[in-house]
Amino acid sequence: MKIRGLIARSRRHYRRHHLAFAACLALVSAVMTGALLVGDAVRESLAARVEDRMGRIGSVLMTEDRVFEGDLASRLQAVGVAAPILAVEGVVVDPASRLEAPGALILGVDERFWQLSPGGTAPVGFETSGAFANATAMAMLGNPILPSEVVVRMTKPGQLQRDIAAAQTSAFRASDRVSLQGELTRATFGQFGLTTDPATQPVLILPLSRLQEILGLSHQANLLLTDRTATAQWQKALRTEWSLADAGLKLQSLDDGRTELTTGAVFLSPKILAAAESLPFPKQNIYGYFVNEIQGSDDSAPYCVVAGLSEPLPSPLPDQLSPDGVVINRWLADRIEVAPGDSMVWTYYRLGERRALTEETVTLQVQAVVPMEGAAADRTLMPDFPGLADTESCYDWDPGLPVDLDLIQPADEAYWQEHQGTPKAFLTYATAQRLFDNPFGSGTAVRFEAEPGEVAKALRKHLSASEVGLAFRDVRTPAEIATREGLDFGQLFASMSFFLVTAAACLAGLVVSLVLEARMREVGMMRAMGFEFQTIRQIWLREFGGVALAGTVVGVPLGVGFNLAILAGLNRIWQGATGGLRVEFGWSLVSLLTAPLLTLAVALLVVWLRFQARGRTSIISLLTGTSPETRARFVGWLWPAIATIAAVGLLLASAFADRQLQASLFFGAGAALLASWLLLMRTIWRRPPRSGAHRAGTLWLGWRQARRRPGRSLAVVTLLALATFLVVSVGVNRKSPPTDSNDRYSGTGGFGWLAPLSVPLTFNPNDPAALEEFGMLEEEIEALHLTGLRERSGDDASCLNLARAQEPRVLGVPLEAMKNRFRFLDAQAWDGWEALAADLPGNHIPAAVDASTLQWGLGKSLGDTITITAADGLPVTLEIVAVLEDSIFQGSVLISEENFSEAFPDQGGYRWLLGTWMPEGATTTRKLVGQLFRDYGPAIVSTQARLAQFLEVQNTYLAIFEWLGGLGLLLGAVGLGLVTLRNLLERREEFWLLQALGFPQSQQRSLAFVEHAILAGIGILGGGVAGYLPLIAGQLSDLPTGSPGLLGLLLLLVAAAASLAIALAVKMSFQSGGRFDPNGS
Amino acid sequence: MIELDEVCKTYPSGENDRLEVLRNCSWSLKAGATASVVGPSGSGKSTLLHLLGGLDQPDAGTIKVGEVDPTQLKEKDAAAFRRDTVGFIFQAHHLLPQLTALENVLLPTLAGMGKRDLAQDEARAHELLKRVGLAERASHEPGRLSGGERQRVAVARALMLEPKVLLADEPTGALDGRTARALADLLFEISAGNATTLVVVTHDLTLAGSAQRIFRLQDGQLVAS
Repeated sequence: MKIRGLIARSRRHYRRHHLAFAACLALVSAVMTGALLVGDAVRESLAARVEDRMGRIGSVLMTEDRVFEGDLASRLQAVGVAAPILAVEGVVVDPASRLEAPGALILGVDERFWQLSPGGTAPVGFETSGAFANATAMAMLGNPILPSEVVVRMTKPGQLQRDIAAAQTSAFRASDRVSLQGELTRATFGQFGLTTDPATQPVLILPLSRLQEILGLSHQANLLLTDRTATAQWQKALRTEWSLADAGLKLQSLDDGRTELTTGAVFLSPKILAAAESLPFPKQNIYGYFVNEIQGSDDSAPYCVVAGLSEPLPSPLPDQLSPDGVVINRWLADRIEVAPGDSMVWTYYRLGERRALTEETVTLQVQAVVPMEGAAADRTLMPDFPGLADTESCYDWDPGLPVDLDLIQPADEAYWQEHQGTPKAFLTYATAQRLFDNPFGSGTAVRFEAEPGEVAKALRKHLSASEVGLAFRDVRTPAEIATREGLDFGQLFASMSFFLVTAAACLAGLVVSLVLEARMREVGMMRAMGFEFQTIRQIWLREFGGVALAGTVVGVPLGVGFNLAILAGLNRIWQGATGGLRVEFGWSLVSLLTAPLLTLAVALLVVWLRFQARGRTSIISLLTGTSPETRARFVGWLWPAIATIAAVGLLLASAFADRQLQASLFFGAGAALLASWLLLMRTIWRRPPRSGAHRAGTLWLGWRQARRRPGRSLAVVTLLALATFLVVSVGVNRKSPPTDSNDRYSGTGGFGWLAPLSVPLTFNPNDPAALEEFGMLEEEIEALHLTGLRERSGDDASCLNLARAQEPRVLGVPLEAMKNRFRFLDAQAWDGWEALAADLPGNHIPAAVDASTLQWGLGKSLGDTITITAADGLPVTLEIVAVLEDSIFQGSVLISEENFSEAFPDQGGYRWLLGTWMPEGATTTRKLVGQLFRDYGPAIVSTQARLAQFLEVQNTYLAIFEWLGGLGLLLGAVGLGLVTLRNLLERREEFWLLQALGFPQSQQRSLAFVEHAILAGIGILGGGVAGYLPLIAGQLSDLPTGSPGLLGLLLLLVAAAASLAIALAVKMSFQSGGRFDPNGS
Repeated sequence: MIELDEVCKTYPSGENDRLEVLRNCSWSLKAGATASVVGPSGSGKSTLLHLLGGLDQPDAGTIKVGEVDPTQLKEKDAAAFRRDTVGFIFQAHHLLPQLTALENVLLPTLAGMGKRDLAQDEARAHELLKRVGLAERASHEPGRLSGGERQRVAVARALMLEPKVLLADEPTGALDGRTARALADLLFEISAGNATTLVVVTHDLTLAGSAQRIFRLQDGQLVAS
């Protein structure tokens, strides 16, 4: 005979035990495999979503509100596929049903876009038909019957900045009807998106030419999508291929042979001016402006174009002017009756950010009066002010600036008819800069004494593409990184399955102990025969190892089944945990191997440890089947008393704590109560038996049996109690949104609703005057308390997004409006909002983040930095200086509006509105806001609903934990059955004695049952009561909790399972017609 | 062959007391001799056997089996001692239920690390089973053997590695009278045939009388009876 023969025989003989052992390990392996596979599934589903959204897109060049020449894509075609796109945001409306799809992305594309789609081809009939919408948009529009005509109201990009008051707000909006022909599929960018945000934006795609026609932007685009050629290669090609026209710059030849540089944005940026300044050609800087009124001694002239020129001034203007000196033309001199030496008062608007206009006045002196000839008759000195240039009559003016056409006199109209925008006054360029400078630029033209080609070449040498806002950005890699670095669902589910795994592992350990106890004599005899301890241990490890391997391997396919069940749960009832992501099965070799290997290792360790603990006892005790006696020492009543006092103390403290702390205090009180219960049991069981304390009855006998092995009894009770407590009490950590949205210090900040806008507001909603001008009544302004936020779009860093946000959304908030709102958990100033106004070293911008976003979305802490890439490709560093308590701003990073304008000047307008409910109620408020801001497509959401959406994620995790914990508890009850079996087998001589004494079988069984039922009852009762304490306390304090009724049902189920397990164990222990066989195995 | 010199052994009894089972016990037995040890219940008979076999440690004194003091051996050497020098027979047979009678007899051959001649071992096992009258039951598992038959297998097992000393603790305690006598005869016969030193602990005076020498354990001392 060989050892392997002994092992094979032992496995066969003890096959029931080994089957139980293998089953427990299969369960452990299955649960762990299933949990780890969830991580693979989520990762792969997120990756698949990136594929669906981005197709073959690798990089983007995005100018958002500005446009570049559409043929830039063709100039770059040597690198790969580049698709020019017009991308705007808006709202799509079905006029028939009046249903809307707000926040829609409207794309104008050509065939190159479809080459980048997942399927590589356009939808059938795209070029000839009309527009196609994705499923999200179709659903929002009520799935209209196709073809269907829809109205699209959208933003309009251009060269002008949205914030500039010089243009009408209507210049940035457009609308038209388009024919909706079909629905986009997955292959045709039906899931299109450039972020990893959980929600798919509604998308409408139409031919580029059509959208260009609607927006009046021929041959222009504001988005370039490229294939997956490296971003660096695209950037390299861009450096040589970009043109001045792409940057909105225009060079034109003048009649005098000079070349004039102007911009479609009216004002030349400091970078452009600096580059122009460095060119080696003689040049003249020009600052054309529009003055509201020039007041002479008796008369005034309204709405005059003036020009600042750099010296030397051209003829007939004098060579030099004093800083306050002005040269006026003869017409103006006659109009307002002034002569050289007289003073004039100029009234004009200084342009500010967010369409701010500040009326200013300045007194200047007439230095000279010149005839209208030469440079004084140059009508091209007037910049292309939108709404002013190219009009035939003053009465056709329609600028963004407020003008009172009633002030126009016939003389003024006659001047315009004859001379158009020829400046009526001239001043030095420096003086013009001093008077008119604004955030949008300085100067309106530069004239060079050179050919346009020479100027263009030289300018491009001194300007980089990124300096003019043209830069490629890799969108693919960050998205892929985000999906990889997102919340590890594998680990999350593994930790939530902790109880289940532990219960199964404990079961496995119990089975091993049971087998060991049953075979102790075998071990003793082998040692007596001369087997070394290590040899016997090796034999056992081999025997159990083979079984463990089989069990863990079987667990893998079972784990796949468990995983599918979890995925079904995630896709149906636990959608709150995944932000709506449809999770499909995914796997990795690591996940499939980790669980069985880990389980195998743990199983072998358990066998080794149990064998080590028991097999090393004296050969005699092994042969006689006795366990080493351990005398339990009485420990006194002190510790139970302390734990009880702690529980009461924590409960009392909770009465004075805020809601955030209350849940923790309730939980702590429950834990202390549980501890006092367990310590009490420990004390009672270790108390020396009192003489004369004899009782009769099964119950008393059963109670006394618990004292026999106090350590073991306490272990059983503790395990059940702890598991019960945790599963029941975890519900107290559920959260719900505040009941009163008017509470300024709650997560709503006192706002009742918020509305992301499809089309940004071009005026400042934080300014009541602007709102009045917009058309709101005073009482409406008063009732709604509107606050507007700026937005730089980015990744959603809320808990709804399973992917790690790489560049989170940034909101620019008006600090004044935010004062005394929300609550900060931590800040680097006495007030969190104050901290956002701080000056930080290194050009860092102070930022505030919601606590959940900070921890889970960004994985950062207070003091850390976040880098955002600006439109020019340069990094903007935000430093976290304040942490908000759970708020409606989850998913975004907040900076002050001032810093936002400076860091992201290309992000004009207000994209968010917050407000309060009107006294008339939510319905009236929604109706009014919807009507007022109809052209901007508000999607009104109550702040409580928004908070609830975020809190739903955490609550879903807690619910999953309760489910899995409940399963673990049930398994623990089964384990109790095994412990019962073990106990009874150990004491079979005892029961034989009872049998010999005449105890009927039924009484013996009752005794065995009651003894163990008492332990189960103590454990479940103790854990249940301690767990209910935080639950009930939470309910009394209006904290959201789990359902006591459901949890009570769970406890009943556990108690029933425990009873059944004990009854079965008792039955198995009594053999041979109910009699104990003292020689039985 | 066997020598005890001033051996003491006590066990805990109650909260602070200790029960003295061997008190300055000195004793010797020549190689090849057979001896039985009798005494009242709890007198320490089994304890004596355990000490001789290296299954327990005395509180004081020395023990010699051959040239070896089993109480001073490290575990590995103690295992080798039990394997090569001693054969145990207990009241409960302690047969492994998953092995046949033949395999139970062969079990001690797996204890050592060295290579063995499997055919030779098997032949010896068969021979031993034949000697104990169970040749035809070699392939039967303990569950299919009677109590006496199981004990005979245990005897064969104890002899498998040709021990110099055979220690039997109440070998007939669980058997009926006739079976017990048959087993006792077998035991002494084999012992005589192999010149194996045999120490039998028993209540059975008939069995005890079969030994060359009878000792009574009394007040912690072994006294020739």
